[in-house]
Amino acid sequence: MELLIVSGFLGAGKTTLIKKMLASPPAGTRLAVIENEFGQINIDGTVLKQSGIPVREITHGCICCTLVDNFCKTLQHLKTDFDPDTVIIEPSGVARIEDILKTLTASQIPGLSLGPVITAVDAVDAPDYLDGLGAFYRNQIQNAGCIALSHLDECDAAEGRQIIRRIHLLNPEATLLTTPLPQLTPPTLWQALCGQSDASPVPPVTFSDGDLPALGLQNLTFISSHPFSESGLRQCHSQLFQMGSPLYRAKGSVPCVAGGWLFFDYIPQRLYIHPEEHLDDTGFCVIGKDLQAGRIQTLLKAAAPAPSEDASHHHHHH
Amino acid sequence: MNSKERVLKILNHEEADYVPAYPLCNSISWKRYGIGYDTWSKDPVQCAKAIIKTTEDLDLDVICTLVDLSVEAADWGMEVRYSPTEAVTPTDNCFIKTLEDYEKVVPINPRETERMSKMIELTKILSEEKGDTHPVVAFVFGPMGILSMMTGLEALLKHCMKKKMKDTVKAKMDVITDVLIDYCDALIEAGADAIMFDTLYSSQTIMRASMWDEFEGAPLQRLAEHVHSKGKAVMIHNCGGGIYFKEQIARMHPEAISMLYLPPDCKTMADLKATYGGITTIIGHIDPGFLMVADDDRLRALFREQIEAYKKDGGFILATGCEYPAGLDDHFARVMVEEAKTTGKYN
Repeated sequence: MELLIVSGFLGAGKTTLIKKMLASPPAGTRLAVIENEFGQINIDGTVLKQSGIPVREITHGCICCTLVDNFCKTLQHLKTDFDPDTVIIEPSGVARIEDILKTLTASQIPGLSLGPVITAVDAVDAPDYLDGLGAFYRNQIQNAGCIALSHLDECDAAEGRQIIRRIHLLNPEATLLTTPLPQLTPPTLWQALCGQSDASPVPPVTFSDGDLPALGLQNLTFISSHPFSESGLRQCHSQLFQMGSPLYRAKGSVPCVAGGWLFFDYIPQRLYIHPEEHLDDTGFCVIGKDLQAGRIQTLLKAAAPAPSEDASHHHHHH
Repeated sequence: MNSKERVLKILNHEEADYVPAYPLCNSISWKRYGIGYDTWSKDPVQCAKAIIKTTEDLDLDVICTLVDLSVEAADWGMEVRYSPTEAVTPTDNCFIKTLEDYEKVVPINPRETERMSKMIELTKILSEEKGDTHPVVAFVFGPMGILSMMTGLEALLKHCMKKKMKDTVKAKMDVITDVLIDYCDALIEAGADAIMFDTLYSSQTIMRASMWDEFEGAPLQRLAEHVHSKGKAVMIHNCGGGIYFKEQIARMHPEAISMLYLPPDCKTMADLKATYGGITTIIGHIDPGFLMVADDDRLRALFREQIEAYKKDGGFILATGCEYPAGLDDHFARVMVEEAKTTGKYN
């Protein structure tokens, strides 16, 4: 039984996404839906009845612990009564996805697997919400495997680029859907859940110095002449994101102890390292807020295997 | 030493005989008493009997009147649904859908309304029956929480961010606060030793600290000052993630904070004790979610860890961070009380 979480704040398009998923699921897939007590999927009763898709509601206790008791029970009943292949879960729009995932992982219901999280984000409202609302809002973006951007067509080009970059900073790995939701077809949506972006893909985002001030971010680049090992780069990853200041990303390339170069790309939850034989640009680039250059430099020196201290740095400070 | 004496010492940051224990067991008291959740929610006499029986059976140190989060909003006219097996919940028919609907939030008299009057009666019965031996804490949902029940949580957050709606939100928070002041007076007259305000929105999970303070800071300050002026204790319950201790303490000067997660400025339990342990009493903070998957050994280890971290110099009540799961039996509550009496024993 695979669980697909469809998250997103009020008005972002959760209901639209769920309706599309229900209207045309992959052939032979038995679906069920769990919605929160304020859910307004409002699927035509006739359609649901004919489709035989069971919908279960979670009634609430306290917002923080709504899910624990009710979720586990509801999942158990669905498995016993209907044995669906896929359960679409629509949590409250202020749910922290991380907490839901922890609860589902801890539930120990046999045969349960977690599918990707799809988060609907309203491109027009997202900048204000990212600044004003609590951690739940960022958490929904950070934990998404797929992000469906609604109302992007109502933004001008600069606003659209801006919000895409902010989302990319929070979650560089997520598949992005930018087709206006009313035009999004169910097959495209289901494919996006498998990691395939939609017909009008967003070009890979690269950051120029000019972007960062608008985002309130700094960019520090360190040049190291002595080599790193892969384990040294992994050590850097965990230490950098425990430093305390908000650090969103680090990437670049460094000389490798075994010869050649190591290209790496860090976000808080993941790192990506692969060897390269030849690279034109090298450097260890860190993007975040309130960055402490001295501490980062010390950390990098400690991670590199050569004992001599000849790493230098220069930085662009905004 | 009885529970009231024990808790009073702890609130005064003195060591008692042992750490008081307060798993929030109202959520299982109805089942243990053999009545339905709906009866328990509507009938203060039966509700009081159920709470008292659970308190006595499990030897709990605090009595709280927490029933559900729909009490106050229902009295403004929000439709609610009763069920024999689940807590009272709002129906899908949202009370406030538009800006104009906010006009429905008018002054009401809590001594005469359907649900708040019954909470007053519940408090009176509990105080008369157990007030000599146990502190009776009356639970009141905060003004922002009440308004969010009427609008829907997400909708309220949206309204707070819209220029043309935020002034209306603030004005209606003031109306609600005036009613809650009357409500607190009635609860105190009924015998409540403390008022516990649920300030759910004052957490990193929901909104930025500055936004919380802008909307709910002043109303809660007004409420807390009023309760203190009556010589009673102010407590806070907030089970959100990263609750704003600093900001709430600045506004409300609470004698105790019931919590589930650490505040954002404290990385560890030791940090919390060092930073806030001398200013307010910590009530908590066992995760009810953990109780769903725990075993005795792991749970005892967690109880002991928290007791050791917080018990020194009083100022700590071992509790669940939120309601004890309604689907569980009382076994883990008993284990908690046992650990409070043994590991929590003061020399």
